[in-house]
Amino acid sequence: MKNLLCVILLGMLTGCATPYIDRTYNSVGQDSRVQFLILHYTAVDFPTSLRLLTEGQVSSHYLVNDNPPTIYRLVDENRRAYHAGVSYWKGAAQLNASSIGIEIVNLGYRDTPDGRVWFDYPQAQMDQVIALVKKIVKQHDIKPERILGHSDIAPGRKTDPGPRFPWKQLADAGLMPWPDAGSVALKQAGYEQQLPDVAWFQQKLDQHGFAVPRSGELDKRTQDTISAFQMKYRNGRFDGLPDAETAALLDVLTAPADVKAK
Amino acid sequence: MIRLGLCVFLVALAGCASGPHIDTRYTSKSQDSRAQFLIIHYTAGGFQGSLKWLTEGPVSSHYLVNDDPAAIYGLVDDNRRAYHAGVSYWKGNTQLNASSIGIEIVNLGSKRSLDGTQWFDFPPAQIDAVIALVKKIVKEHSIAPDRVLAHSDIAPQRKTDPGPRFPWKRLADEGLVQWPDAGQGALRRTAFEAQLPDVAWFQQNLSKHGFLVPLHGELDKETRNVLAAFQMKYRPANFDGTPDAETATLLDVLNSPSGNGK
Repeated sequence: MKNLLCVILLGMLTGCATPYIDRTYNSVGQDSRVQFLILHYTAVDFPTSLRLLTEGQVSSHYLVNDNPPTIYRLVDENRRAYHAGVSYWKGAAQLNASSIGIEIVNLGYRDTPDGRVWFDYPQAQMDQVIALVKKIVKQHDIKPERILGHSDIAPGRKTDPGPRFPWKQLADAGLMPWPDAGSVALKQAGYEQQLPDVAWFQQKLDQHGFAVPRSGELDKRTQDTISAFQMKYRNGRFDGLPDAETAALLDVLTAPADVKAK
Repeated sequence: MIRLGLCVFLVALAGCASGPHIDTRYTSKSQDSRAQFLIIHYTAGGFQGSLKWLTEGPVSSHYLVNDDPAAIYGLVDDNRRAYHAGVSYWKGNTQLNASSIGIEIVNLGSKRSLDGTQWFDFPPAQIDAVIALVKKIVKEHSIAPDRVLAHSDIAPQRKTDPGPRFPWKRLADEGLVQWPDAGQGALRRTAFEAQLPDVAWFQQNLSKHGFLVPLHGELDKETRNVLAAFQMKYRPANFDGTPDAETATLLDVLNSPSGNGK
């Protein structure tokens, strides 16, 4: 009688509660939902950044202040934050669901009579960023070529983290691939003899990962994309115009054998 | 002295513990689950084979629902990525493994015989379990009804599962998936029967609904496959991939703001 009552009670319970799930077995084929790590600058000071990222429509998993260089976690890594927006990299679109976002307090740029001036990242802040990137990459097994700038996944719309962000430091820390200088010099000499056409640049930018038109014409979107690429790998000039050095960098980066991930 | 010793010990600990210090006192308001889609599959095989394939093979899913007995197995944690969607697209989103939860349902799929292709039914007890599971997942991750999808929705060129025998209407009756409002259909259908819209109209509406579909105005194989995937879900009696008035009506009602209640 007691048993029967128990069965009835259990039946009622299962009727309204969640279904029973057997967790005896586990799939070998699984990994982290986090496939990308996206770096941003906030373009505003710390108090404003914190307010926008905690109370506004946008958010990020981490915020790294400049002074003191404190790391704040605003969203659990298992959850989706709103930092990427409309975005694309190598066939993957809408990257919020599959990425972790790090916002770095940096004012971005200021337009002056002498032209646009970009703000530096203090070394103490970069040390924190690198330590944080290391930790995240290890925990989620993120591939080095998937550590990206906001400008990589949304060129034209976004320029952050900007030309002053020292990507080379991340490469030196073994976090991302960097084109080997010797290979670049060799290729550059060749491309100075004959610059590839726009279609070649578009094809290489596409192969590298960018969403880029394949029109063969140097339109606004193509220039924005070239500029985003230059900002990262040749930050001395990022005018978005095809040139021999940019061609050499692209060529080396898209030819895996020549890439030296230090 | 003891206190100093403890302090040194703690500092040493902090030094070798992995990662930088992270301040977690602030939390972003704008955040949600990384799981944005719920994808339904059939296994096209029996339980033992399906379990082996999904746990030991290169593919996996978060859940497996057996037919007899109708038991639910959790194979991958909801917070992790499983490999069930493959190359996929829905409403501008791609590569949906990272942003979805996959449910595999034990069902043999289809069998070719002299009488044509025969599809296998889903036992009611199994569907009850699927519905209970979908309810739980949708609630936990706040997944909207228009994001509870078939594998054939997100990969119509490659996949037909969960097939025409999967009772989507039962999920719709529970408010779990989008369903065209029958009342709104009658008038439109009369109009569509008088004049069937052209292929470009079908393509444009299939695209608006969420499918990846060509927009060139020609009824090619790809377009037919997408039409068949749509019909399989909303008009399973005939899914020949040919445009007709009923299909036009269903699409039109689903795409109008007020027509896709349940």
